[in-house]
Amino acid sequence: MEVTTVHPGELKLRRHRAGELQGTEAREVQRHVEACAHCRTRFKSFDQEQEQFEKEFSFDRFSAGVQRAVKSIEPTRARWIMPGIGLAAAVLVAIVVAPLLRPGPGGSGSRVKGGAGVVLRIGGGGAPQRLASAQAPEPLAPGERVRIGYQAGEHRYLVAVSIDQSGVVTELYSDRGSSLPIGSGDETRYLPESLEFTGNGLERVIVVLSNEPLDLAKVKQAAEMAYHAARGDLRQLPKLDVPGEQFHRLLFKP
Amino acid sequence: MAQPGKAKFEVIEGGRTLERRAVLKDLYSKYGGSVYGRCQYLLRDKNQAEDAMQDVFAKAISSYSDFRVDSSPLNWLMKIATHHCLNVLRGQRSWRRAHERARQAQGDPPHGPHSLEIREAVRHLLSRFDLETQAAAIHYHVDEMTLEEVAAALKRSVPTIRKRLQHFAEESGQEWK
Repeated sequence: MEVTTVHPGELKLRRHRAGELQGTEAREVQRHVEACAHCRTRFKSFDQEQEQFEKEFSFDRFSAGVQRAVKSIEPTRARWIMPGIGLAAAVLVAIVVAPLLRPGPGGSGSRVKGGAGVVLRIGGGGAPQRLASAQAPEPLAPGERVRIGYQAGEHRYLVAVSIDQSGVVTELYSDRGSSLPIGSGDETRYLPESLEFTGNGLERVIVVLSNEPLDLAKVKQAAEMAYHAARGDLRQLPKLDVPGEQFHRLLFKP
Repeated sequence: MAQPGKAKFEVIEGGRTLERRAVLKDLYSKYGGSVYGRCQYLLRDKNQAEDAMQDVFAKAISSYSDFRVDSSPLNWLMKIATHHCLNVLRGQRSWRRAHERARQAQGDPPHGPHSLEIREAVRHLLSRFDLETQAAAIHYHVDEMTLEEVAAALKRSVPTIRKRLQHFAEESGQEWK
């Protein structure tokens, strides 16, 4: 059997053991391990290391310790990061970074005065469910889907569209060419089904809550105009020229 | 483009703990031994290594977006573990002195430092170098990453990493290969 003479590095062997290598690379490493006594021994030592680890630390002990550490990290981050930023850095953040992170003037926050809001819940990919950030592009992993939730507040209609990097506007939720009637209220309700975003790169989701039904074609046209006004930069997309409250989220497709 | 799907996922409000447990189980089985091994290798103290390991996995959980999209979760974890432990060591003011004392008490190894396993020799020498050189040396000599991989992991150029490793080799009295 022909085997590569160079031994795979330790980290590569560990990655192979963890099932991280794919395709040709995985097959090459596997062939090498099968034919090379030295690497077989190393590979086996990783199994022994894991066995020893599991003997020493039960999963419950591990889990409890990590969850404790998570609790100590999360409040610390919130409390200390901002005071830790020096004046110069803060100015830099305000001038350079903030415009890049801003999802667009059309609506960043998830809730505004009056009780209306929108959330994008991401899940279905095996990872814990989470809400898309309102401050920065939210990376999607392969297989992840999105559900749109809303707090209607006083509004009675909703229409949702998305626009991708090439300017293609897609209708997400509407009702026969117009906004979808929704019940008012402050509780979060989720729209039916989930969405899978195809292609890759950025995609901006825009949800408009309004008191009167909006014409879907006009909303799509407004999205296209906004795209041209931003010269195709979805990070800089301005507010759509339609009535109602707008909520924007930027997704980054894998 | 978006496509609605029948394969909808149910929204699980308050279900995060259960999900987190499932994620932790996966991390425990796949990476626990490797990460704990790295922490123990650097810290040489079971309790400190356990604390460090927990901190590393806590960072993975807290930065799940970054962790998840990394092409190699193991690379990510080992990089974080290495940095975390080196910072712990740096935080121990007396580390260098304690290390020297321990070395003197034990005496030099019977056949000199070159007879040590490479990983032991690297660890033996770490305290003489700055944090980035320490990390580069560990990733290169212990993880056996290529120069390019080390450069990518530490977000530095290949020439910078080469220079750091040359410095490490020269100061350590090793021949640069």
